[in-house]
Amino acid sequence: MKKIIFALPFFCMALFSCKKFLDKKPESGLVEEDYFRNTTEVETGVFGIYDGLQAVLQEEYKLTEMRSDMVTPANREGEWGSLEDFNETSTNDFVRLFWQLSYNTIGRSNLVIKYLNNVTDTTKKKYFEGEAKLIRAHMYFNLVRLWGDVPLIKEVVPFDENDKLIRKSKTEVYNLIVSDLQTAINDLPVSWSSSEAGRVTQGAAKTLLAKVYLALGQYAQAKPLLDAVASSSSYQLLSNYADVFSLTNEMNKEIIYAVRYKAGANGEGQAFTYDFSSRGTVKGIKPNTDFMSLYVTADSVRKKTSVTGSGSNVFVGKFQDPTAADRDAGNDWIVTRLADAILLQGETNANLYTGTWGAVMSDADSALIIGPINRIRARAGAGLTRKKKSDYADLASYMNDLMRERKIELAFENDRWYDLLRWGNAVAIMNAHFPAINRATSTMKPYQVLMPIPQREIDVSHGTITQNPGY
Amino acid sequence: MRHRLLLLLSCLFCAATLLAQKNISVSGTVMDENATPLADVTISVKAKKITTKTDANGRFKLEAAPNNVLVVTMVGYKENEVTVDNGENLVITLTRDLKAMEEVVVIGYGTVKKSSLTGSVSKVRNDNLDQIPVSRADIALQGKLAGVNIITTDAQAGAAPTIQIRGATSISATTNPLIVVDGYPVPTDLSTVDMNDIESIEVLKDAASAAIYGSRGGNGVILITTKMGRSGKTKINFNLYTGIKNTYRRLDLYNLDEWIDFVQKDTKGAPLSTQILTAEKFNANTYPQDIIFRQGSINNFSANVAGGTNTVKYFLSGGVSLDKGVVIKNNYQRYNLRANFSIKASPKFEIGIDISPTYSVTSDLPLKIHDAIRTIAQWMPLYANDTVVKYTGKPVGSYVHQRDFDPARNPMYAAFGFPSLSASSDNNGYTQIMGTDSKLYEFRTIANTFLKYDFTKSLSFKTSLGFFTSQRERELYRASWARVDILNPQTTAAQARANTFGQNTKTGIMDLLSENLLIYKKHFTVHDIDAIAGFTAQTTKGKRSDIQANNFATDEIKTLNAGTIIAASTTEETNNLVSALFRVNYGYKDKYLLSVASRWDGSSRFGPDNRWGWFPSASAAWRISQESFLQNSQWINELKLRASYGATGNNNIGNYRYFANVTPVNAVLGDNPSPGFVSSLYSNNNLGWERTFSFNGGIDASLWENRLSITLDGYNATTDKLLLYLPIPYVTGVDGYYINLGKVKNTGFELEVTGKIVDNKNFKWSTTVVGSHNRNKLIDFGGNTELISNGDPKRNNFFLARVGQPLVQFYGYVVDSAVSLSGSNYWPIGVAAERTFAKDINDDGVIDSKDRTTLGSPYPDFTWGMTQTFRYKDFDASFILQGSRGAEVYNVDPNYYETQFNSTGVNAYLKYSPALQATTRFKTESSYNVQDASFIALRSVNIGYNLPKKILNRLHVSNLRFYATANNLWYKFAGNYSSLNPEGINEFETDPLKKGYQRGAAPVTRTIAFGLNLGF
Repeated sequence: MKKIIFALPFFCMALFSCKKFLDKKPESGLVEEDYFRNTTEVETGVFGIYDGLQAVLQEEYKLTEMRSDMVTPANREGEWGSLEDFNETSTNDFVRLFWQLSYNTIGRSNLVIKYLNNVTDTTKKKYFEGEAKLIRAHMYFNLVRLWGDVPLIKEVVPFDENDKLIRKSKTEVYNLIVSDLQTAINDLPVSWSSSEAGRVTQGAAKTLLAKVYLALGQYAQAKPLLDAVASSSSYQLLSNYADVFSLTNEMNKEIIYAVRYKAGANGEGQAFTYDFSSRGTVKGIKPNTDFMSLYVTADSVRKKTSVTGSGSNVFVGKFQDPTAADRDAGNDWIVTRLADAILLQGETNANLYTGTWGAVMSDADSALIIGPINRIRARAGAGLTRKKKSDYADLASYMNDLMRERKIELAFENDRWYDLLRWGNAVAIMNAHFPAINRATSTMKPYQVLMPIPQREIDVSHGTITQNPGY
Repeated sequence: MRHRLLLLLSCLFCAATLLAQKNISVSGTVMDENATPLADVTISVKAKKITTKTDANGRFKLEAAPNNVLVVTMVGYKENEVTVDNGENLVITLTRDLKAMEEVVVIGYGTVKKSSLTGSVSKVRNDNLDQIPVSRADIALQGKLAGVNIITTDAQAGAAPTIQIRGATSISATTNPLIVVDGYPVPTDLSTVDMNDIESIEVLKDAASAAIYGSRGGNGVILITTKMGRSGKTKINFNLYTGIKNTYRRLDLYNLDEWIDFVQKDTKGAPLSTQILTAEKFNANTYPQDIIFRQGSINNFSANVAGGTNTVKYFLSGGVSLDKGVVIKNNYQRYNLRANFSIKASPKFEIGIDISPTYSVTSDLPLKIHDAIRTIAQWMPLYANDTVVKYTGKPVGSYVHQRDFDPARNPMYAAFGFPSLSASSDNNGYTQIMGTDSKLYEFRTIANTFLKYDFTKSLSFKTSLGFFTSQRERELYRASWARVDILNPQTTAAQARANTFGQNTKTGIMDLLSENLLIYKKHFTVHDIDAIAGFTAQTTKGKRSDIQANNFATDEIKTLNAGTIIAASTTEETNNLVSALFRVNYGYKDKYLLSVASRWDGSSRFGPDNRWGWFPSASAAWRISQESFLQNSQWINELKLRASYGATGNNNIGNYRYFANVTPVNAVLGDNPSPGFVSSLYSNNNLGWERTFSFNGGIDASLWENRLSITLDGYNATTDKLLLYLPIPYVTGVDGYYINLGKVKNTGFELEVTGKIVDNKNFKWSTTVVGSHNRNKLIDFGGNTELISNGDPKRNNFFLARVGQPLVQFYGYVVDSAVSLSGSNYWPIGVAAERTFAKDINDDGVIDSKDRTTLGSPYPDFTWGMTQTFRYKDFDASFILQGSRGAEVYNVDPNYYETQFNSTGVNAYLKYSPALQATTRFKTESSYNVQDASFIALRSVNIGYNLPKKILNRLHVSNLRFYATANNLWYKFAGNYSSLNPEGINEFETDPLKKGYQRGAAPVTRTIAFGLNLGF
């Protein structure tokens, strides 16, 4: 019996050290309760938002560029084809993924905002807030344009507060976008050092906000923002169109906002270069024949950069790097650049024009309205569209030119579909486009200006998140 | 001569002592019924303190008076009494004592006599299981255990099967049972153990039995006991077999000619499409399955030495298993050693050590079967022949790719004006397989030591210390030509290099275990007490490193130093478990049996508020056959009623799940990656044990001199506080979090019947049948009524978890009628429409998500196994049949073989009016892919011939047996099952909510082998 008593202390000792033995924290990660305590740590949270953006931009083109009249996947298999052909359902995986990644990036922004008070460096605190809010606004701007009313999450919410997860009106969403971008304009620096190139700037906030105002038809509010960006010494049109997209010239003076990638750097490369090329998942993304026929001789500079190959073997030429490994290319995705802002300037000024269309414009008005298009064309060596100020009989004929110019200048940069939504002519354009490429079987139904809400969201929210009509 | 002299002398001596009525020298041999000498038999002189034991040859010697009576006893044999008489060369025969049901069953932390068992435990002994020609022990157990469903989900050589005991009890945690090898709970599967080393396997099925393993017992426990030597003559055994393997079944796919026949019938003789006409130029009668399948082989060699003395016992073994799979490139080789030692250092002290290192190399298929088959076009030769050279410009003998026949990508082909024949892939599967080396090297060891001290006859202390380690290294190299075609003019050398890829992944597990037990065993008059109490601690550390490289300068060097490193990472994690446990087994007159057990587990995996779990259990049994009214029954040898209730748990959810985890990511800012962190947002300090409460009732009966024995069990197990990764709306920023939520119930019964149908000296025939039925029901889903999960988002298909129904059901549209291909170009070969018309289930005139319905469930209604054993003189034969009935499988293979993502299949529905188009759905989201997974398999056939004793003696061997053996000699598929392996549920294995999905599963293989057993 004595021997049992002898064994007991060991038993007790072991139990005593249990608590320590069982308190295990991750060796290869951290836990939130121990982190985001100071400036440096919150800054890593900001970098986490940019990581989220990298994922979003690898999916976005499938819902915008591919769905628009610009391109068709060479092999219209599965979900690729259903988006291209307007057959998508609420279970479409690309739709789900883009939604998920967008809200994931919003969640990362909200996380940074939650811990802003732990940032002691006041300058950095402003920057972090500006970055988080700009990117959050960018995500909501995409969501509201593609889905209409969407759940509006402004902070980290308890997961079981389903009432906070319901869809909010477009107006409410736009209110947050506008206020976030206004904060970003106040908070963000004009530029970052080259070692931080890629972090968002005041110019990006201004351009985005101008786009938001244009989407809302508020031209007067957009104008000062665009004018400021266009006249800013931070940006300039590169003289050579191809240089804008060159892999060796990234974050050049024309870039206002780009999401950055790097090849061969532990998974920091992107997959769209691969998928655009003939080696890709669907054997490449091909510009549509009706788009190709837009190119006239004068557009040869932009054609040379925008598309590659010839005949039936034409593929998207932007963001290409033939030497990149599969799904690991380093080309950045340009969200917006000066040429975009300049063309928006023209569109804004034309819509604000109070003079009589068809009559001779003043030189000043001409510079404001026709000038931007000419500036872009001149850079591309495409000659000037209109020399005489009275050539535009009405706003519609001006917009016709502007639309064509945007289509060619900004081809494959995720602008076309949002432009069509802004101009309100998506259904008409698409239903004219399908016959033009001899695909009589496809049509776009009016409800398809909005995407289906992913079925999973409806299911796991027990129906508090509702579906868009038609799906 | 010398012997005779001795004999004579001893006779004289005996006679002399006899006259004196004094003690004489007594000698003799103890043998069993088969005249085999028995070692270690106790011989004592009645009413005297003289005792001895037989030696290795069954001989003994002692001194006794001629009128004394010798009592001869040995465990498992009937006691025999013999009068000494002249004491000369006594031959004493012991017969096996069957009535006592003395079979010992291993339970957690101890053993009990089978007759004293109160819980539900199945046992299989290794009766020729080591001769089933499969390279893994777990696969050899198929069909042997009631309620234990062992399924060959991956039929590749060397791959582990999935094992499920009594239905699915969990949602987000895995449902694999706990594996315990010689007392060591192993944190992985069963690959460590060679079947040749296994003595017996016990399965703890009810909660009362498994509760002693507490938080890890919820999915049942499999206890492996390896062989150990006995005191006596050293025994040497060899077992070896060699055989061949083949695919059991192949897919019935069209070749070009058959396709043309089909098309002409379907189109009523309309002109063939230009694609078909063009393909005819190249018709090479390529059969993809002949290219990727081959005849495999299996070779197994094992040797062991077992023996010991009264103080030392040992078992040493070594084995080699070489398994060449039926799919090209798939190989498995295993080398294993084992050393089991136990030493009685003093009458009170016993120490022991078991060490079992295993090394294995697996080479696996880098592509799933469906991809390999569909990417080798049936009209296309694998290597360029003259016709191919003429139209594509490829060099003679080079690999041919479908893209060579695409005018957009081959200008030379385009010049002939042919249409594109390329449909399913850029590269054929063969180059991908041959150009990719994927190898897994694994080294595993269990080393376990124990020290046992007997304080008194009834109280002892046992402490053991051991470790388990697994070091896995996966090497992958993809050559420059595996996925791009360097001979294609569009491919540059830089592109080919960029497509090289190398990866080295190392995963290490280091597990340490300390167990400390007090054991108390006492027999007082009518009371039997067998109790244990103990304390255990286990720590498991996992490490992983991963390096990836591309841009290899040459395909000749496959190690990563020749490439550019593109990614590298190392991670590690730890989990700790501390437990206290006790069990008391009490028996009154060996008639009323009671067992109470409990375990307390504390795990680092759970939140501080819910870290400790308590798992109590109680069970009782009544041996009716011991009652006076049955004791003398002529036909009832054993009749026992059992009942048990207890709690077990499950903690298989991975580590650190209760935290809001912050994990590193990178963003590119400036020219370099900037390290960032993201959070999983939601922590749950309450995350705790998943608990299963189960009731088990059973009957054991043994009738007609044990000619028929029956075990019947019924159970009702409810698992609550399920460990659930609860999906939440993405809008929160994350997709879910871990919570204890929900309730699942499993009810069922199990039957084991063994009959010794014929039991003569020359002919013996026995049959064992096991059967089980389990019904699974989701009771509570945390207030939700259902959850629909999408399996493969690219080819939508749905799983439904709905309260009141089985945990998993397939869900989707019901096929109404087919979308025809007419009007298309009927290309590629075997193409079919990607969509189908769906049934309007709710009759509201539109097809929408409300028309989805349940399409089947992956759970079988009934599983069974049957073992037949025959023995006729020196011949023996046995076979094992296994069957499963009522399960469905979601088989996505047809989608790959039929549509190949080609526009013909994709767009076939577009010719209908928009209204009709709206009633079509993807086949993948319909009943089209839900197939019957029932099967009956002849898992083992074994026919042997034992050389007769006379010859053996001349050869100086103790046994020599030649045998022929087979695995899956016959396999019956269900009528509507269309792929290669209905058990091949090879995706989402770790997600119980997506159970039953099959995609390109490796085929069922049939193995025939010949072998021999040799013993000295």
